[in-house]
Amino acid sequence: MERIVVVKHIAAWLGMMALAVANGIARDKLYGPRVGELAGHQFSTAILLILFGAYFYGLERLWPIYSAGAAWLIGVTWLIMTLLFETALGRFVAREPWRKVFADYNILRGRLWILVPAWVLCGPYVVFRLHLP
Amino acid sequence: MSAARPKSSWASVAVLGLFVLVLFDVIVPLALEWWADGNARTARHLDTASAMSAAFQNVVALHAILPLRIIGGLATALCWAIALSRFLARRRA
Repeated sequence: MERIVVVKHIAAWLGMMALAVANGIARDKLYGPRVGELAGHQFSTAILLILFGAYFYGLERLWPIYSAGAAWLIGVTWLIMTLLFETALGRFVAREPWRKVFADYNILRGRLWILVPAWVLCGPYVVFRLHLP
Repeated sequence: MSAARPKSSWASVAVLGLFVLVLFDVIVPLALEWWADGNARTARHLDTASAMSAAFQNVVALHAILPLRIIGGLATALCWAIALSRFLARRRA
């Protein structure tokens, strides 16, 4: 029974990817051209962190995580899936060079994307510990 | 199942907020400024084109500070709001 909760959370990773894709489309169509590439990237990263936070909270209410270990298992699995998905999409679908695939992780170039995998990793544990009503 | 779950105390949530604030509003911005300072010092001994390139790199890197501070500030405010509500609920109980 408890393992099913972990499996459901891992399957819900698809919803996170749908949110990320919708957020990227909104950035490109709505505000990206007006505010510039870097500011658009930073703003969309902040929006995605908030969306993911709300999504983690909703998932935790729907299928309560039963232990800290389960929360970390979900976070690590989500992180691996996210990194594999992003790398495969950039490298093998868009056929971008490795330098460009990892460019969004470079905070020295003003890119904040590193916060997204960090939140994907820690988010399940944070909502588990906060245990919000 | 959910009855046995640990619920963080108001103090631990407040400490989490403080940790986020220190990380996003102090440590990372200071690290970026320190990196930019080092970059600028190195660029003084280079030709004009390289110095301008380094200055551009610095400007781009320092552009990350404000959004990081806003994200950290929002997360901290959320943590402290939760901590305050738990503290008040505990006092009422």
